Amino acid sequence: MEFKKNVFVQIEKFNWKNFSLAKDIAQKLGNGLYIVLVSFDKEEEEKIRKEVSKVCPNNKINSFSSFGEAKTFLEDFKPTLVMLSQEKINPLLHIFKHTDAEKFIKGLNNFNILLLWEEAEKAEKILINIDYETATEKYIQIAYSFTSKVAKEFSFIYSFYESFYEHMLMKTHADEEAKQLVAEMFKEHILEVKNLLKRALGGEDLPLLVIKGDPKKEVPYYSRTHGYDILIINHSIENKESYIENTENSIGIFLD
Amino acid sequence: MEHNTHSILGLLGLNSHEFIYWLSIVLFIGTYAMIVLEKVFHRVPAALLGGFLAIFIGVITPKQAWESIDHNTIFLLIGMMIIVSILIESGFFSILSALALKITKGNPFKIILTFTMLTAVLSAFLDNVTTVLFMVPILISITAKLKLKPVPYVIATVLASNIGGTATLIGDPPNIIIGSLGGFTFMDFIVNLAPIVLITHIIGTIVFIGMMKMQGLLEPQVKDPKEIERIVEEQRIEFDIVLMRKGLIVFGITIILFFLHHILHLEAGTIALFMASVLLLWSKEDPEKIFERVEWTTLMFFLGLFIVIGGLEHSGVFEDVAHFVAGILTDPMSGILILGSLSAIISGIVDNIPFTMAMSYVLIDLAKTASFNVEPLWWALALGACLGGNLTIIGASANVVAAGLAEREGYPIKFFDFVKQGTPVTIVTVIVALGLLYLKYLIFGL
Repeated sequence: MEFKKNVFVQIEKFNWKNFSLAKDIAQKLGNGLYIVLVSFDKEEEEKIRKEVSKVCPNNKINSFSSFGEAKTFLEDFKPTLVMLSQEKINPLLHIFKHTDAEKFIKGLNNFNILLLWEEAEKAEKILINIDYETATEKYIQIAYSFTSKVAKEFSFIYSFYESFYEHMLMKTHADEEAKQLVAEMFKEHILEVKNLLKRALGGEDLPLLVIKGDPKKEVPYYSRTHGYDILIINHSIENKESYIENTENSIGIFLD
Repeated sequence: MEHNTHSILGLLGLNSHEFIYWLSIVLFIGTYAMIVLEKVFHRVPAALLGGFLAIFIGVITPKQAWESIDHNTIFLLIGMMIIVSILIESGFFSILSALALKITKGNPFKIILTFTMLTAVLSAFLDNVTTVLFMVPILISITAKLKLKPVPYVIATVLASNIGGTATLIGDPPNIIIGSLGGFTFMDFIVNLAPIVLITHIIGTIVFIGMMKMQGLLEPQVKDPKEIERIVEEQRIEFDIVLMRKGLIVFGITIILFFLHHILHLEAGTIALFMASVLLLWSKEDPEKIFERVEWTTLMFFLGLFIVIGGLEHSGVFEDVAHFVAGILTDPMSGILILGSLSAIISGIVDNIPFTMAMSYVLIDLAKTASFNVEPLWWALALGACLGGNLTIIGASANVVAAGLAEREGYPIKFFDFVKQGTPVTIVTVIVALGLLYLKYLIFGL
């Protein structure tokens, strides 16, 4: 997949650290960067235009006063990657407040989206989540295409929700039998995910990290505690909102 | 007095009122002794054995035993335990404890001060059990990570909870009973008890913090700021914000409904179980997984204890105690000290709910015949019954719940560990609170 049209959307305030990273990512993808400003006042907008033109004279900047206008522009423009800044917010505050980026991407299901963590400076180590139920070959190909161009290091990860299956099976089977069935299920799932990965990558056999636990909690936690810069998930994944909110680094939501 | 003629005692011809009266006392003392001898017996089978032996031999009929169980308390416990379990599952407490660790910088003195203050304030507006269910897991997690002994910290927090809960109509079950039977409003409690409780809490805090300091329990074990920073980060385990949001919305609505339960004519237990069911459905969490976290052993303990105490109630022991107390209440000023102290002692030994209920009926009767204003006696009963709950581990529901939570985490609270910390605090707080109440009526008149 080619990432031809990359857009950097900024809402109310301009994150220069993220701009530099977005520019770097767009360069690695081999294309320029379009800038979309949302809800900026004229004075601020002028300042940004001036500063941006100093570093990247060819960058195009579009300004909109509302989410609706900016989203309509994106629907028409059909970008291949939309990058935004994700506010660093304490989880306790996050309970009561959605970030601007989260509000903006609501309903934007037709683009590859990358929420850049407010403090993110690099995109060198990427974790690609493979969801057993919803991950497709197309998604893996897009994520791989992006990652192989941008990152120095990457991994595929699959989280097996063992306790969930155990509880489900224990309702209909004896405890020991349920545990045995879950163990078999575990092997089957890994095999199926590995096969999917292999098919998507044209036969290439890449390693797969396997962890256990609730994926919407465990995968973002693994990404944070193992020093990954970006976690990538697919659009159709169940509990997408949870993955986005539980992630405390950059997160990509890619088409599937 | 209804006694079961088909019981074992009935078959042996031993079902006279007097025999059952004394047998209920013997059963109570026996059960209590088993609970105290925790090295030999676990307190849960001890309480259950006492309760069901009372039914088995006929001290109390199965129907009376069923009626003795305070369903409101049991439902409240189950409901709040489910809500708190879902919040635990969401990682809310680990995030909150990381924040508390960050704010206190791991300093034991700041930790105990912050937690006891917060607990006392929360307990004034929430049920003590709910507050304890909320605070104890955080405290255990923090203290364990900081290599401190969690048990004294947990006990101090429970003591603060029982003190704070004394301040308002909704803070502690005895106050709910007093408000309901005595006809007092939320504001009556704020005006008459809150200032006294505030001073009592400050003095109580000085006492338990002083005791902990003397025992060297407030010495920081982890001093390196970098190590504390690492612990803070380690504390932030996996979380799910969407689940936290759902849990807190339901928790918030539950608390609002608690405030309105008198208007809605609903018991707190009904509200808690209803809201827990709503959260279980909304969160889509597996009920079986959540029920694993519910403190069933604590609930079983309550079940047994309620039946044993029900035996005392039905055989007329409470009535006799209440009449004895009424006989010595000849004037309101000495009555404050007598009733307050007696309530504190009895509430420390038996659960304060049935005792408060029995004494409330005595005060209602007394108001009809006495030539003096009995209002000060109601406040003395509230202070004694609530603060007396700090005397022993079974003095108040919150103590039992905290003990269950601590045991589950691998830090069992021994009966005498609690008494060692709880008794001095109870003595000081009861003296201060009753002294202030006495002074208030002495200065401002009856």
